[in-house]
Amino acid sequence: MKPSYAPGDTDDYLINAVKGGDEQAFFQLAQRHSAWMIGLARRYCESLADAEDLVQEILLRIWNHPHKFDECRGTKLSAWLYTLVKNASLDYIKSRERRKDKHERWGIYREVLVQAEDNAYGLSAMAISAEEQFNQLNAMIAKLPPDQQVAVELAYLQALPQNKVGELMGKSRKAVESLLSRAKRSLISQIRPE
Amino acid sequence: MTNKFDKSQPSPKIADRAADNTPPPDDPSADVGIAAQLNSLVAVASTYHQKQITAASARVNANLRTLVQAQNARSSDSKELVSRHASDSAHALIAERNEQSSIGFKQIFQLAAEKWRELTKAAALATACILFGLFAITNNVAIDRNDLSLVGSTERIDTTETYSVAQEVSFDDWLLSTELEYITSI
Repeated sequence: MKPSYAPGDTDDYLINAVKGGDEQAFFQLAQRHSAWMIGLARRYCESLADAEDLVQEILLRIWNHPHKFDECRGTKLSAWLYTLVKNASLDYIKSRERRKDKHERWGIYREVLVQAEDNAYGLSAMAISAEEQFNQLNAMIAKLPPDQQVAVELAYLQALPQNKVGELMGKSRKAVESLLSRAKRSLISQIRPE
Repeated sequence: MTNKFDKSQPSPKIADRAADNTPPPDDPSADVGIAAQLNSLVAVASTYHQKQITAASARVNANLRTLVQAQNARSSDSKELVSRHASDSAHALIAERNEQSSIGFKQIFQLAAEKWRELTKAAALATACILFGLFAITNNVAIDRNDLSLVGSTERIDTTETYSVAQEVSFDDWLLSTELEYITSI
């Protein structure tokens, strides 16, 4: 009979079962981590669909090569997943950049900038849809430094606890607090009228 | 003219600011309002974003189930295919070797039978054993005892015991122990 796994099972326990070829353990791990991974990948990808594909590819690679995770190195599985998403996202950006010529890139960049500026000045939030508000905030977040973007994504948009954010990013809770505080100041300054 | 030391009058700068009711950029009370606006924006965007990624995550998990199961099915299919192929190949090889074995056996015993007339029984047997041994060793073949019928005996042996050079027993020993009586009885 196939074993079933509980939400309380640790990541280490599950990944060891995955190393033994246990599908159910893998599905449990995927269910546990896929949402924040997609959210993080979405920061770098052009669309949610691209982020989904990217995370799906990463998880499938883990299923096929679970032994690449070596818990003996003292890394937590979630931190390893975070690194995988970040690296895959950077690869995605590189390949996307290669596909676009300079002119086209500039066109999109300018469009994003114009949209971000429009959004920053016209925050009559109650009048617009949730999607538009999300896009507005996204455009503002896109102007932050990369670490701040990730911290805002995980802590504000995904509402993960700060210690979890620190665990994923490999930073102390203090460092995360500092990142978030600077990000918040920067976002406020984007909203503030000139 | 306004007396600049007259504290009862607001300075022109402050008066202008009061007139258009715009808070100065570094006014903390303005930041509080903007922070509230930001919080509200984050709350709405976060709810929307979480709904989106939860749905995306459900799609990814469903896809993974399908992909992993399909991959396993493919892997098991290919294992079965490889196994079937190996089995077919093994059968083909066995058939081929048996054919060679039969031919070799037949040739050897035909040779032995031809020599039978010229040589003594013991010499013919020794020749057959040597030729047989060389053939078996160089071809690594399994030899079916039933092939002994090829030498013309009407009596078939009802066992399918075979000799393989992979066995620990030397061919000579095997042949001598199992076949000597039969061959000499021809």
